[in-house]
Amino acid sequence: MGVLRFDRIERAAHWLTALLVLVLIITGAILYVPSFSVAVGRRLLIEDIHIYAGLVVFAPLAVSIAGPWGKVLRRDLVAMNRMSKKELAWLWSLGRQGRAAIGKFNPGQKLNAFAVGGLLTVLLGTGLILRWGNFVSVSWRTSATFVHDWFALAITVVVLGHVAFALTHPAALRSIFTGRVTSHWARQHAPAWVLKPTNGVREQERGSPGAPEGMPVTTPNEATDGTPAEFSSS
Amino acid sequence: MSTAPLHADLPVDPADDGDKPIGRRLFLGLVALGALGVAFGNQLQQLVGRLTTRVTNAGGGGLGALIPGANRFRFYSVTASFPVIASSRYRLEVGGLVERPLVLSLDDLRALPRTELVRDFQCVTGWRVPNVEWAGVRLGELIDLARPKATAHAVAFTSYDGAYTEGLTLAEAHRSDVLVAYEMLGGPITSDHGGPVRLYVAPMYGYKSAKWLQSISLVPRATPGYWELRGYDFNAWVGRSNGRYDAPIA
Repeated sequence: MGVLRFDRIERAAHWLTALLVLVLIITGAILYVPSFSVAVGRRLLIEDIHIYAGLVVFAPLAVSIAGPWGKVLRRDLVAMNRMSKKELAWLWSLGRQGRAAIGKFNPGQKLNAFAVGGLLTVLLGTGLILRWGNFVSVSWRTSATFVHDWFALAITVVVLGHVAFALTHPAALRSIFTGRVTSHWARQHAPAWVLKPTNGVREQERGSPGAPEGMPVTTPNEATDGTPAEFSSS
Repeated sequence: MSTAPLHADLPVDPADDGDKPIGRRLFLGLVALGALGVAFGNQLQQLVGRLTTRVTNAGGGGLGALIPGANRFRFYSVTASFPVIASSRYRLEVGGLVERPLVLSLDDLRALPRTELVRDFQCVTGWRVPNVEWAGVRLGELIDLARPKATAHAVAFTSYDGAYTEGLTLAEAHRSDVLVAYEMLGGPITSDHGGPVRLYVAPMYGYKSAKWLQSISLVPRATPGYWELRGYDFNAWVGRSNGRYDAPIA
């Protein structure tokens, strides 16, 4: 029994991006921390790995949203972009108030996704200046180095936070491997996603339950008969 | 199944209106911050550098030194690995247009008149380590020992890393603040800092101060070195070259 939270495309995009970001953080640390640089050596090789991983860091996401296979991902991204006042209230109360307003992704998860996107964009841009920016002034390159270093520190903190939340929320963590959460979990943690929406228009816009992939399991009875195949237990 | 009608003009729950594109704002905000940083980061980094100087020692060690923009040495090399040379096996060649070519060991260098300097080290990428202690032989004295021919007007350096090159005019090489250094930061120069012997050209950006110094050749005219072939200025005066305005080192 379960609800599909991430389809195959989303899982593949997540894990390929995660792998690239991990490689970038490790090679970046080797290039940045002198004692790591000296211990590892092979600076040109590490540089090359860092540069090529950086160049393709958006490729998994781009390929995943580009085609007809990316329907669920596109809809989730649109939903993650927007936040209601109730969700903002949940955020300001650090999750203590307004759980009923929380959909498939909570406001913290939404912020994480766009923060990573923004940080990676700036890191890619400044990285391009550092590597191929011979045409810009040295002063700009110095600035780009400074921004690249700070944003790299920021994304490391964000990713560590993301991993910490994942490790302390095993059911949610499992869903990025299997794609599924239990309907109990969904009712507990994403009530606005799986429980009957109060406003059909809004829920449609937020990419929550619609037909047919997003169809939630609302009651055990409904779930056992006539549920689309991807919602049956795996 | 939801029976809510799918009409846009459906009365919206008043407590639930005003969905905001927070994600897009966060994304664009970060991109704008990055762009501002690229425009003004140079000045900001100098501020961070000044503020962090008190938490980083002269060698730029400690966790505080990892604050982005902190004044500390950053390790750079242009090759896959860097040479680790035992002090006893180190040799420095002085040749080219000279009457008396020299091959000097580290002990030979230590036997020559010692010059000590306390000067900042300024990298062209922005970081600056204040008040570094240096000791070595004046480059000018070493060159004069080899007796340059009248046709020599410049000096070319090579590095034991097999790739790096640098150069100075003969006049620059005779400045009193240009050293063939065998000590920095109060001790022998470690391999990552270019030991056992490196160049220290105090008044110029760090790329002039070639590490793992292998040879000093007297040549007819100045030739660009490794980074100068890649766009940096040959006359690398701190604060007066490469489009930078750092405080000069004197």
